Amino acid sequence: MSQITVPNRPFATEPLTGFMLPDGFFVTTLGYQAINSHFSNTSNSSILNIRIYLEGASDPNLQFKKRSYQIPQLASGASHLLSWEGDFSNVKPGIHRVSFIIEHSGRRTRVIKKIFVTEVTVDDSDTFHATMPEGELELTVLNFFEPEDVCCDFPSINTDGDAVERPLTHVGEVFEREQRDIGEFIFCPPGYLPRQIQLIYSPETPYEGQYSKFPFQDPLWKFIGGAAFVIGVVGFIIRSNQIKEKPKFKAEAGAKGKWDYPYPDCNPCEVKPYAKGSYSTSDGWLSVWFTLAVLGGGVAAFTDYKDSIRRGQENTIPSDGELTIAEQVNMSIGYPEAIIPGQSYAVDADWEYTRMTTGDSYTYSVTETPNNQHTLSTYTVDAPREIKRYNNEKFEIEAGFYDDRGNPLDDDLFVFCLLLGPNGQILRLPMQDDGISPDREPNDGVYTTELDFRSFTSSMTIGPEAMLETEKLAAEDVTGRWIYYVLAQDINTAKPDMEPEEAAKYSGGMVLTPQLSISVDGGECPVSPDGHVDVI
Amino acid sequence: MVVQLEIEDGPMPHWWASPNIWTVPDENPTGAVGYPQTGKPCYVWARVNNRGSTEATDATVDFYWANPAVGINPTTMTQIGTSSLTIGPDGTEDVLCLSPWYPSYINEGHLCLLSVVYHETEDPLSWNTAFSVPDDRQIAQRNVTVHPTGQTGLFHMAFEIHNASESEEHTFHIEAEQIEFHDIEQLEDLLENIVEIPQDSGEVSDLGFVSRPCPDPEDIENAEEMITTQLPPQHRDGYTVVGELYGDAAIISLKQYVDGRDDIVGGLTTIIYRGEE
Repeated sequence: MSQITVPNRPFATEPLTGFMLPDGFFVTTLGYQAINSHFSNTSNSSILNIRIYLEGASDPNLQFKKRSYQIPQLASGASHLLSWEGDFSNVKPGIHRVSFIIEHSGRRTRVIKKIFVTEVTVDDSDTFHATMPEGELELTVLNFFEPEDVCCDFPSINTDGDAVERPLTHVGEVFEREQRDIGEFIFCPPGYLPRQIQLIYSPETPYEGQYSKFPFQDPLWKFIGGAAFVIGVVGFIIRSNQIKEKPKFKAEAGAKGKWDYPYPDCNPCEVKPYAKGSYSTSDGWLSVWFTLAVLGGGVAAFTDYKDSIRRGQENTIPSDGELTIAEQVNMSIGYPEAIIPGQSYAVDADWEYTRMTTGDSYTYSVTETPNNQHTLSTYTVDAPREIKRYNNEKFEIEAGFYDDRGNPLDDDLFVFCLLLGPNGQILRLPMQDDGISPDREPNDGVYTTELDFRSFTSSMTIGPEAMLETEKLAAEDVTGRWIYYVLAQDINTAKPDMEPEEAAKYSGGMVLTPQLSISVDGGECPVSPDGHVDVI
Repeated sequence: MVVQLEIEDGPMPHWWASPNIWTVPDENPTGAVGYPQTGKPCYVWARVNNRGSTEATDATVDFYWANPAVGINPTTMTQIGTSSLTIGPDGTEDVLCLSPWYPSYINEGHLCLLSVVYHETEDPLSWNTAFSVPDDRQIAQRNVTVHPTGQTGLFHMAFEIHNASESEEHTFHIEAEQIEFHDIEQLEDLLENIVEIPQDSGEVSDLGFVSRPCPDPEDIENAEEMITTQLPPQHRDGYTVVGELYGDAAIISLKQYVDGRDDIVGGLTTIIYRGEE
C-alpha cells in the first residue's frame, strides 16, 4: 500500500478565476474545469521521486488532459496539490470516479476517488434546476438585496484626467474583452445578496417514510442550493431588467452601502436577456468571482447546520402509506452584520419547510440567526513590492493562515494567488504548504508560490486551447504594476467511510479571505487587493 | 531513444485469446477476475508492455468491445473507455478502464474485447481504417466465451460468419479443434464461481458444425467437420458448433480462414464445462 494517500474528495476549480466551486462539485454547464486533489505523505519520513498521474474516469465522456507529475521529495505529513484539466460538458450528472496512479519506491498504487457532478440549467421563468441521480432541485431567487448606487462603468481615468489604478480595472477590461457569446454583459460589482429564495426538491421516485435518500448518497445537498445559486445569481443579474421591483440595499438599520468608485456619471447596469443554453465561461467567471466571496450570507443560513430539508423531514412525519412527492423550502434572509468572508457574521434566516405527500402537506417553520462557521482568524501576506526583471529576480509570495490562538490552520486549504497584470493578464498561481521549494516548511500554515516574469504559465483563459499555456513574454508586456489577491477556500474533509448524516455536516469551497466584503450600514464595499508589485 | 508499446496476443495460433485483457464482473473494479454477465457492470483491464528504451509518458490505452460476427474494424468496435498510462522502458503495467462495460446479449453472447495502446507522438498507431491483430503489437483481442453443456455433456453453440467487405465476395473456411488447458491463460479466473477447474482436460468427441441453430441428436451425428461457405458482400450466415463433452471441462477453438489463405483471420475460443445451461 502506498504511503501517499488522497485524503479528500477531488474538487473542481473554475479555470478563469481559479476559484473552487461550491463544495468542489463539478458542474457540466461550466464545461471546462480543473480536477484538483491533494496528495499526502502519511509515512514517518520523506518520500523521494514520486510520480502521479490521472489514469481514468468512470464516465468516458469526461475528457481530461493527460499529465504526469514528478515530485522530487515530499516530507512526512506534507500535502501537495495537483490539477488536471477536464471537459465536463458531456458528463452525465451523478457520482463518478477517477483513478490516480501513484508511483514511488518501486511501488505502484491505484487510488480511486469519487467526484460529484451536477448539471445546473435555467429556464425562462428564472428557475434554476440542479440535476442529480436521486432527483431534481429547483431554485428560484425571488429577490435580492443590491447596492443602492450601482455603478458598472470602469473609466480608466478620473474626472481630473489622471490615470486611475483600481483593483478591478483590468478585470473589467478583461471581462469586456471576453464577452464573446453574451454580447454586452457588464460586470456589476460589488454583488447581490439573496433576500428571498425558494427551493423545491422532487425525488426521482416518491419515497415512503420520513426521510429521503441523501442526493449523491453522502452529500451536502445543501451544496446543490449553493451551486445553483452560483449560477443563479448570474442569470438573475442578466435578467434584472425584467424584474419589476428592484429592492434597495438595506438592512435592519436601514442604512445603505455603495460601491467604492463613486463616479458622478455612473451609468446604470445594462443587462441583456439570458438565453437558455447560451451559458458561457464568462458567466462562470462572473458568478464565481464575486458570488463566492459574498455567497456566505445566504448559504450560511443552511450550510453549516443540518440543512433545512433534513430538519424539515425530522419535524414532519407523514402518515402511514403516504409517499412524499416533493419538498419545498421558502426562506427569507436578512443581514444584520457585514458579510465578510472568513468571519463569523450572523445571518437572519426565516424559513418554512413543506412536505407534499400523496395524502397531505406538512409544514415546519424556523426563525434563527446562524453564524458563518467558515472562519479564519488571521492571515498574513509577504511579498516584494518591486521585481527587477532584468536581474532575473523572481516574485515569491507567502501567505500564512492561523487560527484564533495563532496556530497554523491544521486542515488543508485551497490557496491561490490571483495576479492581474498591466495589460489585462490574469494569472492564477496555486500556492502550496508542502515544503517543496519555494515553500520553506511543510504544514507550517504558510503557503508559497513564485513567478518568473520572464516566462510563465498563463492561466488567461477561456476554453481548452488557452488553459495553461506557457509563453515567453516581452518586457513591455509585463513591465508595470501588477496587483494580487491571495484567496483561500476550505476543503470538504468528510471521509468516505462517514455515514451520510455525518458527512452532510461537512462542506467546502467557502472563501475565507476577506478581499471583498459587503457592509450594510453605510460606507463603501471595497474589493481590496493584498498588495501590488512593480515589475521593472 | 524508442518507445515500443505492446499488448501481447494470445499464444499462436489462438492470437484472439489474449490473456492480457481480462474482466472484473463486479461493482468494485479491483475485485476478482471473472466472466462478464449480460447487463451487469464489468471492468476491463489490459496489461501493457513497453519494449522500448525510453519511458512512455502519458500514453493512451483505449478499450473496446465488438461483435465478431460483423467483422472487427475501427468502425464496428464500440469504445468502452480510455485510460492514461506512463510506463518506463522494459516496463509492464496493468491498466484499468474505469468506465464500466455493461455487456449486451448480442451474437449469442459472443462478444470480444479489444485494447489498443499508443503514444500520440512517440509511438502512434500505424493504422486508421483497418488493422491486423496478430501483426500489430499495439492491439490485442480477447474472444473467449464460457459455455455450459448441461448434464448430458452434449453441447451446441451458435455463431455467425460475416463478410464485412462492401464489394467483394469471399469464401470462408471454419475449423474446430480441442486445445489444451494451458493454451488459455487465466483459465481459473474465467471459471471462478462457475465451475472448479478439473485436474485434467475432458475429451470432446463428434466436434463439428451444423447449419441449424437448435440441432437435435441426429443433426449432431451428421455434423460436418468443417465449414466452407461463400458469402456475397455484407452478407452473413449462421452455424452451430456441436459436440459431446466427456469429463468436466474442455476448451475448443474455432479458426477462420478466408479465400484459401493460410493465415487465420479470426477465431473464437470457448470453454465448455459441465453445468446448467
